[in-house]
Amino acid sequence: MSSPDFDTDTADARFLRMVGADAQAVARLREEFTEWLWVRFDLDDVRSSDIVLVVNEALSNAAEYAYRNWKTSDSITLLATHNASTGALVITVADRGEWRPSEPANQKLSRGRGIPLMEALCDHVEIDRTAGGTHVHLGFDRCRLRLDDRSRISA
Amino acid sequence: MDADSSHTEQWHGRIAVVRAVGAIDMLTAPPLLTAIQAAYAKRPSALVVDLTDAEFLSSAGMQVLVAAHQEITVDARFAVVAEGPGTSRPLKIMGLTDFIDLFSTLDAALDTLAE
Repeated sequence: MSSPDFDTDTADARFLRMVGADAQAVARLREEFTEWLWVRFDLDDVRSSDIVLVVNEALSNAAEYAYRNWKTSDSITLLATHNASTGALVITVADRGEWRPSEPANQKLSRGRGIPLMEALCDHVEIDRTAGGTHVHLGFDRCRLRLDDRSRISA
Repeated sequence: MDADSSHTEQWHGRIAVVRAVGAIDMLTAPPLLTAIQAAYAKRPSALVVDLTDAEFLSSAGMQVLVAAHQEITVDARFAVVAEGPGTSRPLKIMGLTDFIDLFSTLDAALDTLAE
């Protein structure tokens, strides 16, 4: 029997959460994701640090830019899926707002280093900007599942 | 887990050390800049930002270090202590170490700045 949060051997590992677009919610979500990463995967320190760093950048960008001009904040979605056969971990951060990186007030906090950091640390990066929102896809190859955790779950 | 960050200010002679603990993200970066500016207002000969116990350094945190460097190096020395993938790595990758002095331990920073 598997609960919705756990996967069987035949399915890919998955993390899906939706939070409000504010800095506190982003910090809590990042901590939760970091824990999931540590529990499910066997990664070296540099790799796991890189992943948390870029996920934080994508989440922060969504919180900072996406809803700047809206009266009420909307939501940010974080979806991470791992393909056990290829080892590829793909993380998507999606918002439904409209990035306005050209406005000076929005540039204040990061001064544009978030995206270059993503490009430097990820194996693949794709940013889709549409009228309906922004999707940031962060890809990390060769991510191995933690073996002892898998056997605990499938038992 | 609490994504909290706190700062302490410690002096070694006329060198001020501002120590940051935890994640340096969009939430905790502005208070870090405030803490740095408060220490700088006391006119140290050098100011060190010690990230030894920081979990990671986001782009918001890096911008704080750039702003602090700009402000402080007018009349004092500035350095950062960081080691490990979450802190020293983004600093090097984003090229901040081209103009910000980075040390891997506080002792190494203090030894150099006391000269």
